[in-house]
Amino acid sequence: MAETERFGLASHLYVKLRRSHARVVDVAWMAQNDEYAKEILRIARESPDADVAKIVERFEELLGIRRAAPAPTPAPVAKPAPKPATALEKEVARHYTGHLR
Amino acid sequence: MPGASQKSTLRFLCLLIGGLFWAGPLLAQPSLVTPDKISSGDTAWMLTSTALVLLMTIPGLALFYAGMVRQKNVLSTALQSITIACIVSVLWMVVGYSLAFTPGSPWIGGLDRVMLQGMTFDKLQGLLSVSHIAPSIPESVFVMYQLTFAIITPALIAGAFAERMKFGAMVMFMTLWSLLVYVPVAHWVWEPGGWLAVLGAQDFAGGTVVHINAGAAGLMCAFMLGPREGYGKVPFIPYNLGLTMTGAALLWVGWFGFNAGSAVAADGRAGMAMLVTHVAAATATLTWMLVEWVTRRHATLLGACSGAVAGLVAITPASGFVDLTGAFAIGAAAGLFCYWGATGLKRVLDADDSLDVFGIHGIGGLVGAILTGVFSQKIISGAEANLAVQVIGAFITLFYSALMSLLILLLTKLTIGLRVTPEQEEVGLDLTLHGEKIP
Repeated sequence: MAETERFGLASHLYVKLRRSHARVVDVAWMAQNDEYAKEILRIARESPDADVAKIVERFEELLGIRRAAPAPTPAPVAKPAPKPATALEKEVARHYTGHLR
Repeated sequence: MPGASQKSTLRFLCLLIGGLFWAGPLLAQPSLVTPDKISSGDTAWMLTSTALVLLMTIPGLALFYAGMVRQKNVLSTALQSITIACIVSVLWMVVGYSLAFTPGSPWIGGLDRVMLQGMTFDKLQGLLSVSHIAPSIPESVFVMYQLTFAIITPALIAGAFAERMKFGAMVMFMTLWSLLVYVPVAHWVWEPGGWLAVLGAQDFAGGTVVHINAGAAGLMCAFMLGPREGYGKVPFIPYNLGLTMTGAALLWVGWFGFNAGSAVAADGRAGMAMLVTHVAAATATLTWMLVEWVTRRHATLLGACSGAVAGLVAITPASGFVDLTGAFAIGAAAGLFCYWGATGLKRVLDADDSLDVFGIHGIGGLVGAILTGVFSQKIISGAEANLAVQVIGAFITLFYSALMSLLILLLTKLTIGLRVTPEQEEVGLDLTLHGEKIP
């Protein structure tokens, strides 16, 4: 049961971290491997998102570890500017938006 | 002297009334024959055809669909095809075959053949059973051949709800749909006592039973499940159209078993069916690509694959009845109308039919069923086709399938729910439903 819940929490964390930090998490591995999970939780703790904090808290309970003191808020890191989409990429995106064929 | 259509109407009315007061099974048990009554040529071809049609679903359709969804849903999409194949296989042997292919009422067969009761192969006494529909091959081969049709029909529907349906909901829907929609429609059209067969509807290999049926159900699924998250706002890039092309090629080759196999004999009619099948597929492919080139200034691989499937769908009901001219005409019409079905009509319907099940199978099936009434040759088919009967058969199947699918979907929604959560959809069904993914 705990493993199922771990998988579910990891899935939610995947969505949150991907959206807010553009970070991709290996959900299946996080549900299986404690060390990997701890490392991901350490990173997730840095998120200001309250939902993420709740997920981290619950995950730590499942791992049987006490929640560490919140890390100091890191200095905002400037994100690299996204590359301008090429004409081809724009065409591909247009082609597959709302229809397949 | 009454005309052929009057006779047919009279016969139909008698059967209808008789069906309402149906008192018991007629010829419910198969005939037992000695091995010398079996044609080894027919049997060899039907064994081959059975394998070809199964290849259409696994892996043909699985690859065709899996290549068109996003990377995060490839495995779950392929898994759906395999799961449906297994569910239907069990259902078919337990009850499906009996309800579809034994004489009963004009609406549904009997339960006398549950668990294939009466199917015999007795080597010691030199006896084996044959179906009244296919007397030159062992019944076991006929059961298996028809099973492969029962498998591919619901598997086609899966393209309409791709990337968002719960796995359990899919299992429940497909189980009920097979028994409540596929089985009765197969009986109506292919069992000689079925009401559409008696009416004179011509459907050689399943334009109505398979494609209109699946297309209508797919459209209902798309409406009931609603669009995928981000549909129309963000691009849904297909994972690998190379897989789709491989799947389409398997479908094309497998379709020779589907259509030429529907002759249930290794004879001239099977040869004609194979010929017109290939011609219609090639013509539809070229037509689709031409339309693409005219409207968008380029032809695409997905367009070519879609055109091929459209042509194969449309020629299906006609394949045992038309000549080369009919094949060219049906192929060209299929390429044109199915292109419209997957683009213009799709926008009008405003449903996220993810992989265009209705646009290709629904529209292609309608085109084929109706044009069968136009191009069917008595010299090939042995009977006159009636355009009005073709239209009635096509549209009643469309409405019956749509209505029943809607009811089954409502039941599924009220019991276990239809859609995955938005989070599961975002992460992808491969990982969230099945715990596996493509790296």
